[in-house]
Amino acid sequence: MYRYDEFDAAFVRQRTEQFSHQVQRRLSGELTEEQFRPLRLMNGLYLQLHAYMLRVAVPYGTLNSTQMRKLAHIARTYDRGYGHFTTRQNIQYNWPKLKDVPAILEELASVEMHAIQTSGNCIRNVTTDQFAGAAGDEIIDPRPVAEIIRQWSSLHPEFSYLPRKFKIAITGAPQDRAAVKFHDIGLMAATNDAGDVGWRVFVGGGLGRTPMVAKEISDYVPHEYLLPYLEAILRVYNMYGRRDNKYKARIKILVHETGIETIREQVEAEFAEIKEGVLKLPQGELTRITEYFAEPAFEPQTDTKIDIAQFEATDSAYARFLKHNLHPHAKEGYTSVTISLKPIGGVPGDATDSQMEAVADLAEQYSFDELRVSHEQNLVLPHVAIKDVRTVYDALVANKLQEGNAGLISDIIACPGLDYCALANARSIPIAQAISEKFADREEEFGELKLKISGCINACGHHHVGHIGILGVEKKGTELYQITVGGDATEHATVGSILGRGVTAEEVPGALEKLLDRYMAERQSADETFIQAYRRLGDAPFKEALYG
Amino acid sequence: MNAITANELISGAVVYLYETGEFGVDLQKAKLFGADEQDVRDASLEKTLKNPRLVSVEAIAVEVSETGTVWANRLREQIRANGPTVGGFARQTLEGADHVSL
Ligand code: HEM
Ligand code: SF4
Repeated sequence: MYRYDEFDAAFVRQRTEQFSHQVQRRLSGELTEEQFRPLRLMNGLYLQLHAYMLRVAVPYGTLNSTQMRKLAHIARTYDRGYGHFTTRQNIQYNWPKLKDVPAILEELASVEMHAIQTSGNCIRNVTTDQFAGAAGDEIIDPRPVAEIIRQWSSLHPEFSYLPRKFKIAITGAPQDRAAVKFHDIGLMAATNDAGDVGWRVFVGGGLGRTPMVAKEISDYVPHEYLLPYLEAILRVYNMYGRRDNKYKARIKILVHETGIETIREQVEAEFAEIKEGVLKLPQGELTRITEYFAEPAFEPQTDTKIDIAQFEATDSAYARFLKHNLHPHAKEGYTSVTISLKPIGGVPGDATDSQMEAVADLAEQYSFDELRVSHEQNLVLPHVAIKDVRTVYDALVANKLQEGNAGLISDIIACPGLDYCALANARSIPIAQAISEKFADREEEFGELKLKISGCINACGHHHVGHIGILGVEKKGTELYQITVGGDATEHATVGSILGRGVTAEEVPGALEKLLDRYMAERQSADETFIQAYRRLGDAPFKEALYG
Repeated sequence: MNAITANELISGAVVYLYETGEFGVDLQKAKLFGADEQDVRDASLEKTLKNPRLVSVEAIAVEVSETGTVWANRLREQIRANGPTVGGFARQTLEGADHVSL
């Protein structure tokens, strides 16, 4: 895992001190809210409905046990004993007090973490595949390049006042688990004719009020030219992105309005000028960063498989866990374990301080001290020996983290919605809870199903790309929910389509039941997933099921 | 009818302007402005906006039930007044006192 060098450490320390002074000046009345607001946002501090909210960056979703314990300590000491893991692989605290924030930032700095660039019109936390560096299908571990992008984009003087926020996601595997085509820039590992690995670059994806699938701008950029290429894209965006209208300021609108061909020409022209300049990455530097992500000391294993069938009759909960929460690892005898933060009826993405500590202990003992946060708001132990899976599971049971539902209907992405968020139109969390309770007994039957809920059109809960998506709106003072189907965040990126008029909160579980019953009736076999059936059938049967 | 609400600077807690001129966490004690008191309301709002201890200042629509309970009209404000509807969390408290001294 990457360790701060002197520059990183000094910078984070300096920023913490600086913000601490800014807080003091605000408290003493020296700074007005108008002056202070941009300063606090630059340090990840929002004001929500009930309190401040601090968003802490988890760079490319990677943590060690020390950092996780620190997050637990902060939750317990300065918050209400829990944290909320988000789709951008960050963690948010919902109840910090302004006077405590400098102390929290100091605590974070002591474990090489911070909240810088988690808000505002800058380049945000780079996200990646939660199985990066472990997945069996990976072409290359994307984390070294993610780290290089982090360094390049942190406090980049030219890109601190972009037209709007800017999000980059990167995956090293052909199966996209990082939703790269719904980011401002998405990177996917690619192999060229000579067999070298580089990057396919997508630009202009996004969710929000105008969801768009990113377009390919280059089919191959070698590692050494990646930063100049990204810089060229950012320069074009910075120059031409629309600053006149906040709703049209994201790069997706620029790409849409200008056309990908023109954008490509502009980027190529800029790229040609800076290609061989300071941003060109020497192999030595890439190697140096890559060494931080060296493979752990895996050992030859005798246990290489678990026979799930043997548990089906005797311990069905464990069988379910084995079936859904293990992901194939590149090393024989190892697996990546998803720790679901979606207990039936719980708040998606929330973990208590003691759960975080338990997970940290497991990472330390059974996963080479590595942890990941997934964009689906779960945690991952990336490198667990098959022989240790039962022990890990038992510890998860003891901490109420054992739900074997990864990828099933109750593994819901949900934004905080109107229970916390100042921008919300409707609640998300109670909807998620009602759905997971309603279908707890049937989720196995439905198979893989991505359900995503947002409390307003900003789409933080990714509803556009849910196989079933739910968007909360407010109509005449009541909450209504629009249902979309057919969205997909993977390499088959698709924006879901709205089925019709919204339904009330009470009606949502029943409406989903109608859709799912129709799917069960129409599917060709138990192997045809909801999204596959939808692609074959289109909207019509689902519309009919819902509205008659 | 309207009440005036804000978030207190140090804790972020939701507060309301009381009859006494103080700001506190209890919507039931909020000073209410009738439809014919818009000038007074705007003057109070203006004054509140200048208070450095208060942020996100707003006038919100409220109603009073037959039994005298004050209700915020919008769900958003009901949630601000009562706390999140999930997770069993009480509202944010003010630091050290139940009202903001001016
Ligand atoms: C303080 C609470 C939050 C605020 C004020 C907020 C604000 C916003 C806004 C305004 C947008 C739309 C941006 C645009 O279209 O230009 C957005 C998008 C998004 N937010 Fe949030 N958000 C909040 C919480 C969250 C949380 C909790 C998550 C993760 C669970 C999240 C993840 C995202 C994602 C993934 C998008 C869509 C991707 C994109 O197009 O940028 N946000 N947010
Ligand atoms: S989607 Fe809307 S309600 Fe949900 S967190 Fe984002 S801004 Fe808030």
